[in-house]
Amino acid sequence: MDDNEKNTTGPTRRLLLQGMGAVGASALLPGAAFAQQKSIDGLMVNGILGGPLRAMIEGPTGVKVNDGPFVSSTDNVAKLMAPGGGTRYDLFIGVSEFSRNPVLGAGPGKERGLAFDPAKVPNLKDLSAIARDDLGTRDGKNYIVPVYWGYDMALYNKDHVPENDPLTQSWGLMFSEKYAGRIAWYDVPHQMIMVAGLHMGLKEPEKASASDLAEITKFLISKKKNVRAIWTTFAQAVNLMASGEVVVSYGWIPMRVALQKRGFNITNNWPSDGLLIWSHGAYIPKDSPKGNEAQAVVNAMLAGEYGAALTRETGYLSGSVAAEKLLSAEEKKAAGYDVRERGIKTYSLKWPSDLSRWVEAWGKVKSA
Amino acid sequence: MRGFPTMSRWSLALWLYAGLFFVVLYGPLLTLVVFSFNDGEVVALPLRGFTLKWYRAIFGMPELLASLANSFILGILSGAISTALALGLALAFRRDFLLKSLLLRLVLLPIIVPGIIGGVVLLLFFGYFNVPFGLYTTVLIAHINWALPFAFLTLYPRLHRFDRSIEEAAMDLGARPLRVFTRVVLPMITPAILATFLFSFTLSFDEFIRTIFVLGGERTVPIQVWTLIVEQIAPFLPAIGVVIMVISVSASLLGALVAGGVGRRGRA
Repeated sequence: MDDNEKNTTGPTRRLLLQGMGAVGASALLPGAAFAQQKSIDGLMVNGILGGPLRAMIEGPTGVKVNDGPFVSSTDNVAKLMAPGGGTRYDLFIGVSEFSRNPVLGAGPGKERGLAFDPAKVPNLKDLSAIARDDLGTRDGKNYIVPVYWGYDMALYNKDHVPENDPLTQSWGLMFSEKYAGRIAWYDVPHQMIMVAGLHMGLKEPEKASASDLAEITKFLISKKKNVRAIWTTFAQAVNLMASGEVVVSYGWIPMRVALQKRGFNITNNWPSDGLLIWSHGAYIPKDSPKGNEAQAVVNAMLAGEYGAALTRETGYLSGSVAAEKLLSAEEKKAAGYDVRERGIKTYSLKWPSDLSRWVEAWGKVKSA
Repeated sequence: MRGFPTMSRWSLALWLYAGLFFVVLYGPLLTLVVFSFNDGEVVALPLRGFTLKWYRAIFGMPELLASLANSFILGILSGAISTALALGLALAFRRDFLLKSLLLRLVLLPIIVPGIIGGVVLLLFFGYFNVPFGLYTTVLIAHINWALPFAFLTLYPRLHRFDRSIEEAAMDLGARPLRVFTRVVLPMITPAILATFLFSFTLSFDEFIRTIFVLGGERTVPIQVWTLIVEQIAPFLPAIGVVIMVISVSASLLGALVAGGVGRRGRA
């Protein structure tokens, strides 16, 4: 290497090193700044922190919630149980029923979750009856605390389906000949077989025997001719309803709320054969280094103001009676807080005793 | 005077086939573009009129813009690192060494592993080694893991075709290997490197399935769009789709143009 070359490469290398140093420093600085702020990593339905809701949690607690993309409640459980899952996340919120066994573990001392400290979550005292029914408890300690609840339903378009049509009072709406060609099902075996089982009068569809399951499969296949579409995503379902392509669809609460907010004449049935209810419970991995911060967040989610805002924003029903007190009678009725008072039969979404058989049965329905 | 040329049935069938081919290929994209200008609250027919409001809306969404910035930075980093690693591999694979063919298959393995399996494997891998989830930790590694084989496949043929007598001539004139590389090889393969970088950038920019397994609290564009799809009515989605498409297609076209330049240069 001659001197000229040394002169040209020397400063360039120095400049490169300086540049790398600057980039490194700039990358470290934000990290250092964040290290000063309390934060937790969690997985939960992202909508429960949407709009004004995030500030109602992060403001009072001073804890920033880094919520990763929520895939499903079962994905939450899988991530809890994966290597490193116990320390990677500080808070999970998913269907309480699906989470109970993995979080509570095989027996006493095997719990994967942290027992909530009532002193750190004082709002536990305000849990509603429906939320209390779904607590994940062992030996008097709560490992899963339902923060909100909801139900699955048949959505229908009031322009085409009269509210006084008796079909709107059962899951029969999903299978009716009357609205043939304008019905959409949900492409999930668990829910579809569960509601078909309820509609057929099974007391505990999740325990369906092989012959029961065969009957349900036969029933669903016989009704499939009435179905226009089987949707897989939120966007697909709401577009089917909003465009008028279907007038009845299996649906979720946020779908109803989103469609109503945009002026579509959509409502939901209150099935006498069993409104399928569920709760989303919070659980904290026992090895999380930020258990206190996570409990503060759960406590804030059980506060009345947050719960009432959650209902107004998303339609989900707070697990706290304090939230109910902040809602008008009309708001409570529209949301469905009074389903039990109204005498509507509720049925908790339960894990089937043999899911693989249900998946196989649903496969037969789809391919028929 | 000759009349209009008559088309044989065979030619007509070929034209029809070609037309159908392009309709199937580009029809959905065209639909997306049309809906991005539709003045309706849902992505459905009938069309309600022309509007630019969805484009204005997406540029007023801080989360979306942040995810766009994340994907850009990630794409540039993973594109640069994948290209650098692919260059090293391609240079190595010009020589013969023990277990070369086995190593080649190993390098290409991430292409044939289904995305969801790749995601689970990465989740377990990072879990065992306690690597914190983040854009510039786990996601960057996942994207490099995905883009590297493609980068190698793009770059290796260029280097393999490279006339080694030029390098030998430089060495005959006294240049050391590093100097031969920097003064002879590198300038000639620079367009191929750029094309590889742009291709890797596109792969990273569009990556979804592996990312969702290893992402922390931040979002990349595909993840942000997916979150919107699964949780809310998003009439602005076609506009987002068009913006993403423009970015990806621009990068790919640029890459193809650069690569085309390489081809012409190689033939000259």
